[in-house]
Amino acid sequence: MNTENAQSQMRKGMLEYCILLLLQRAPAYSADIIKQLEQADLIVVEGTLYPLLTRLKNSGYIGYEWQESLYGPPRKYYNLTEKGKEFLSVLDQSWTNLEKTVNILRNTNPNN
Amino acid sequence: MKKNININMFGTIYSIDEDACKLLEEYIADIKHRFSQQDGGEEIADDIEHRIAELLWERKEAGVETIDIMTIKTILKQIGQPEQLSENETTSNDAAQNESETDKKEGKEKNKTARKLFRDSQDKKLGGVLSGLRYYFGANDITLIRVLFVVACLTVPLPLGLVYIVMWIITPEAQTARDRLLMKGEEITPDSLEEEIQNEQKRDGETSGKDGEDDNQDKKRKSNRTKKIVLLLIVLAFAMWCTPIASIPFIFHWPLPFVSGTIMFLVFVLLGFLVYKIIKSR
Repeated sequence: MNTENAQSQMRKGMLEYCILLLLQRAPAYSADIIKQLEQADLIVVEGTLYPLLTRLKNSGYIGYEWQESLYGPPRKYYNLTEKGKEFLSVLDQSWTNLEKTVNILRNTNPNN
Repeated sequence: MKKNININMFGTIYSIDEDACKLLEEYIADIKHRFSQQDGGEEIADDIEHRIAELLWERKEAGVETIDIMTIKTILKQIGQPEQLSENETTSNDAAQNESETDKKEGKEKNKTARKLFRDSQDKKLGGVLSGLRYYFGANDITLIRVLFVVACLTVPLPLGLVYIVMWIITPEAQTARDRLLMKGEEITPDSLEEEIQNEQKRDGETSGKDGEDDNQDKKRKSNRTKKIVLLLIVLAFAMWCTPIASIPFIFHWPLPFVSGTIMFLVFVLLGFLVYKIIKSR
């Protein structure tokens, strides 16, 4: 149970960052986001996306517009806001730092 | 052979089997309920509903004539179980989240006994009060309980009949499959929900066919409530009229099981409570 927990915690932390990276590439529908995450080798349960998207929207990092569709019910078309871009660069920096720390711990021997 | 109905999701009509529709309705109700306590929860539930509609549309476009229960189960599995989704939405406090996960494990064991009191609308004689109560206490034989209750009404010097009517008014009726599972203290999973819905349909099939109740349910509920309140007032008036003979030993006025004990005190408390209830339900 503990490994599942640890893994899901790691994934949860990453998911926001991944979504913002995606939207930086291009605006997208929630179905697109799921597909692109899958292509990037990250499988998420669809439903967990919606609370996250709403939270990001309420924090002002992403926005959306409703689009009528010939292919079904109206859909939200998400995009990255200016505030979101700034937040993304902060996250970029955090990720780089994390990566650095993890690499050091994985590759060096404390008894050197 | 299954009953099939049409539903309207965001302006598009879908043909769907009745049992599949019930499962979907329960899921959506569960989602709405779980997210209702959160900020922006309504929007999340709405998004999920939209996504479900999208998935239904895809099937319709692909030429699938009607949505069956296997399809709904597949779609719901794809979107995720309600427990998974709202669990992820705890605020960014890791400690609190770990707590809630272990609580959930204990809750699953405890769930067998943690029940909510409902009135059983399917196995009832008067108001289903006793039927609901027996689930709450884990008993199963309703006939014995009913017999004991009637005997108690006639012999015990307490206004049990009044208590029954008060409970009839206060205790909610178990209307959805989710309610019935809560009443019996069973775990709420998509499987148990589906099972309960199928049981309900079997029972419905046994009694005379009831179709399209949903429209009338609200009207029925409101007129039921008024009827019960009127009944209670009549009983109280009668009880007050009878109080002069309350000084006679109980065994001699057993046809009046509503009269005994500190009747006047009860009357005033109940009248006050009723007035409060009527005002609240407006």
